[in-house]
Amino acid sequence: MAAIIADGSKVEFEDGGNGLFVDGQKIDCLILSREAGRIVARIGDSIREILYEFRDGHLELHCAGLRFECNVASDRDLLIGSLETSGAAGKFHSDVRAPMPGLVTKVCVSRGETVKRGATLVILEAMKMENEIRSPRDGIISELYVANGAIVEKDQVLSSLE
Amino acid sequence: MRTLREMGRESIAIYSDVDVLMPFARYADRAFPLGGKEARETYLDSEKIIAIARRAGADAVHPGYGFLSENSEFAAAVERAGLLFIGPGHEAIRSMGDKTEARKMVAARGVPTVPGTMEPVESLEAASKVAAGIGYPILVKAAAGGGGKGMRLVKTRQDLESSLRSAKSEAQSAFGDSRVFIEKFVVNPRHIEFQILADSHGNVIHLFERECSIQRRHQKVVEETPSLAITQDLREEMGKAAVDAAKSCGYSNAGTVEFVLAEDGKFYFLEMNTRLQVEHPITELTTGIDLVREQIMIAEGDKLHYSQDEIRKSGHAIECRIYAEDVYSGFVPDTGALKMIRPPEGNWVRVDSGVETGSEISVYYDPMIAKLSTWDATRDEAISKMKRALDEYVVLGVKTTIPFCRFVMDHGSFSSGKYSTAFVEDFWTSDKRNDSVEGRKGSELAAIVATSGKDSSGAGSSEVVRRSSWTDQRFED
Repeated sequence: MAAIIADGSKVEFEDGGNGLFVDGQKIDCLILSREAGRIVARIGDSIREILYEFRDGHLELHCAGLRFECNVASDRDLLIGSLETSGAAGKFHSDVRAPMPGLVTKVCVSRGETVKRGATLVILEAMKMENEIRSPRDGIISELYVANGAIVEKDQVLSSLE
Repeated sequence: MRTLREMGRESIAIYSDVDVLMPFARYADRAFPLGGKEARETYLDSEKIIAIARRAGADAVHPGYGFLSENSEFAAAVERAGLLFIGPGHEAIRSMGDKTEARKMVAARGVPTVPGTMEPVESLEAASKVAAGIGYPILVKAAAGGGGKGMRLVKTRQDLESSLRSAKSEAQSAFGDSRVFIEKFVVNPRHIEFQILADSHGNVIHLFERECSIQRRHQKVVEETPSLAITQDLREEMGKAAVDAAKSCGYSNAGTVEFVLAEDGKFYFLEMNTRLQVEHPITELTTGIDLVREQIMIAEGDKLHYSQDEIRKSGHAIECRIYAEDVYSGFVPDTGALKMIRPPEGNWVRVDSGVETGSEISVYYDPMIAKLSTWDATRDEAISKMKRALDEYVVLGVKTTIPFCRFVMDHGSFSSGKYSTAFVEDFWTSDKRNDSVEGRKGSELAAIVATSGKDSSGAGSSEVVRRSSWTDQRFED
């Protein structure tokens, strides 16, 4: 048993050796051709090409005008996931992350500073636009991970709050 | 470059280190490296560019529609180097590029302008006074600006200081000029622009309007022509105003006069873009005129090949801009490698794209992937064609604006033609994803992929994939 998790909802599927079952229903499918990133299959009465990108358990696919994105998780992944979210949730919100890749043009606060919710922490320039990265809550800057001129990736932690 | 090839002319490309593998570099007959990655050391370095043009023996320089295309000093430097600048004279670029000067200039020709300051505002006090006078909401705009950069919407007095500061600093970094001015913000306006063509002999014509009201971050995403918002009488009136605006600065070559159209039917001059616009294909589709070819011939001194009466439009055209952006998290730019890109095909579907499978969408430049345009005899048919083309556009590896464009095409406000620049604010929410039917189908497809055997790229070898035995058995059947 494994699951597809998209938009927060979960669909279970099973590859039982005698066919593919999605949420208990058998899918009528015959693979005709298979290569990296591309599958051609007979699904029901149609022949379909599925183009996809699959990386780190995340699947993005395009098939006959349908775009779909999801995570594919095995039983073990699901179990690990549930353990992780129970303890770490509170801590995660204390990290301020870059919403996009870009260049830090200005760090507006210093370590140990007390900030209010909405205070500008960092100015991030991306695609020639300046974006003010604001504090998600009241707190104290416990850590600053970037300096002026730093190039950051999407989701990189810029600062931590306590 | 395609137009040049059709005209039997040679093309020369310049490229930064990041772009060496981009299709444009090898499409050109010859291509020269600028050396460097950052825009300011490559596509914004006019000395380097002109030196290459001279060394290569170029006759003319086409500035495109970003970077230095609206930089009057670059245009002047090109002219000084004895090269043709395929665009307006540097004086016209300078005066139209200075938004406050432009407002004064066109107002003197009787073209209506938005209430606001005619001079840049210096201090917070002065700004606050002006804002109070015309009433919030207001727009703070870069005097040297364009494309939404250095622009902030200010709804209340409390936000004025931080907006003023960020607009100034953004204007400084984008244009090297921190001056800003204030304009009244017209609520629920429509953004309507007129394409004009002017020769160096004083003849100016317009090629009708483009409706560009679907925007995010004050940047256009969907454009169409003709606009449903204007009547034939208003079209003629605005067209005349556009021609007057162009004449006010002695304009030559292709340009665009932008207006805001208020709910009450009043229109105001916004700015003039002294270059070819990103959205020019839809005008080409409805008028049958290759604007780039006209640009080249005008630069070479030709008189306009058409009189105003000879310009005809037919049918309806729509353009959707495909950007690498995550539309579900506030349209933030996305970067990465395009694992696969496959554009739609078919009658009256036009794709202007600079990338291909394997191309890297980098942090260095605008994240535009392609412009997708469709034409058909009626608006409804052009919309149906656009839906079909958007659905067929395969882009894997980065997130794109395709789902948003598809949402626009489906939305009642768009199909009725009753939309404004507030479309995104009014209708778009980030949870507009797959409906349940599509979700179900998607899950089935995902299950097929996940169980279809180990991905030969090796990247996706999860537990599930490794233990799959089902597909192999099916092959043995």
